[in-house]
Amino acid sequence: MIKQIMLHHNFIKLASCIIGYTMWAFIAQNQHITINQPVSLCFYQTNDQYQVQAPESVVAIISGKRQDIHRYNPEQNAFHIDASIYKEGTHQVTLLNENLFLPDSLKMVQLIPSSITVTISKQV
Amino acid sequence: MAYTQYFSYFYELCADLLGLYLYQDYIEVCLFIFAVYKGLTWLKQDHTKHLVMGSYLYFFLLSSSYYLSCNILFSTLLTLAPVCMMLCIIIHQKQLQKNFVLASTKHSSPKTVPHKNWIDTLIQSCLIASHHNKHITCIIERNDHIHSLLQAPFVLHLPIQKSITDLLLASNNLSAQTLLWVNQSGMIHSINVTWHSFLTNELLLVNAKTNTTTLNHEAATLLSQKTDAVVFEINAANTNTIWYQGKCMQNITVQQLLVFAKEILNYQNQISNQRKSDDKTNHASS
Repeated sequence: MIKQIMLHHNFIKLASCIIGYTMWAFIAQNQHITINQPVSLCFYQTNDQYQVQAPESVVAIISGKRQDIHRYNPEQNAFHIDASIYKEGTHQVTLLNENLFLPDSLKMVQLIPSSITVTISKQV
Repeated sequence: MAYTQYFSYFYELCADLLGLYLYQDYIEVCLFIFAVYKGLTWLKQDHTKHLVMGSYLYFFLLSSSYYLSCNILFSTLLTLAPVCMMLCIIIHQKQLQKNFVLASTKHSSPKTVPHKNWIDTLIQSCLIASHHNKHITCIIERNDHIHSLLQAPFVLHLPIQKSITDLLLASNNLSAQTLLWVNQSGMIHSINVTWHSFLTNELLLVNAKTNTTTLNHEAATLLSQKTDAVVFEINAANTNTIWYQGKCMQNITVQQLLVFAKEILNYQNQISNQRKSDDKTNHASS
């Protein structure tokens, strides 16, 4: 009975999907890939009297092994920018690799845009 | 807009769950699935060796060793995979020859349509012939090639119709104990067929003392075991025999034989397909 099910045409189709994907995953896990990943911006040491206006996120081009990229959770990561060093006004802030805490196995190749405009103004 | 959103959700889901980030990954996975599917369906065609089950087992071992972190076993199995594939091809070579080497001699669709209930007609005619002391063994060729196992004195390629089969089986030139070669489209390939010397001398090792009944039994068992052909024998005593996939069912009634043969040949589908094509032809002509 089990043998008949396992040799059924539909079962073979299902098994092909599982085996095909798994075989690919085995081979591809150590492959180096580059992906575009939106990363949000996070300002710390902000003054309550001031408000910060900046883009919500930037696109980081990240490179590394597929299995490391799969393990990396971009939602739990962000660009950390110290807001205390900026006074009231408009500033051009260049984002650096140090601002993003990536695992050692991953490398940031490029940022789009590489610099952002931050406007700090008094709360109304 | 909605499509873009669905596409975005799908992409995120595939990236999170399956690690598919690039469109190249989708292409690669699809190709892998297609290759595995083709391989498994090819292995499934061999009724004599269950290589599909072996493939499942190998894959199960491979994935288990990976998820249980048995690194040496995993790398050994992964490295030996091509060797196993080669062994698989060697074990499967007869089927490979049937599918590829002899592919050019596969049946073409018949120009003349046989009678719709050709299996009923055939069994009926064989039964009538058996009452006239003619012992007929029918071989229904299906997808597998059986030309190398049978010797046909001539090729008829006639559709099974009541008048034709009655005429053929009532012929004085028909041997008292003979083989009738039919294909699954309902075409009579040949009559007065004999077993090929390769089958009798090399596969069965028949000696001079072996009588025709024993030879037919052994050869039919072997033929049904090595190919997907169906063999049945009808006699006047209503103790008929059918061979399929190397198994032999003896002492069955004609009714049981008919039901079993139809079941094997997926007769209902064939009838419905034929009716559909007939309906289409009638519709087109009207």
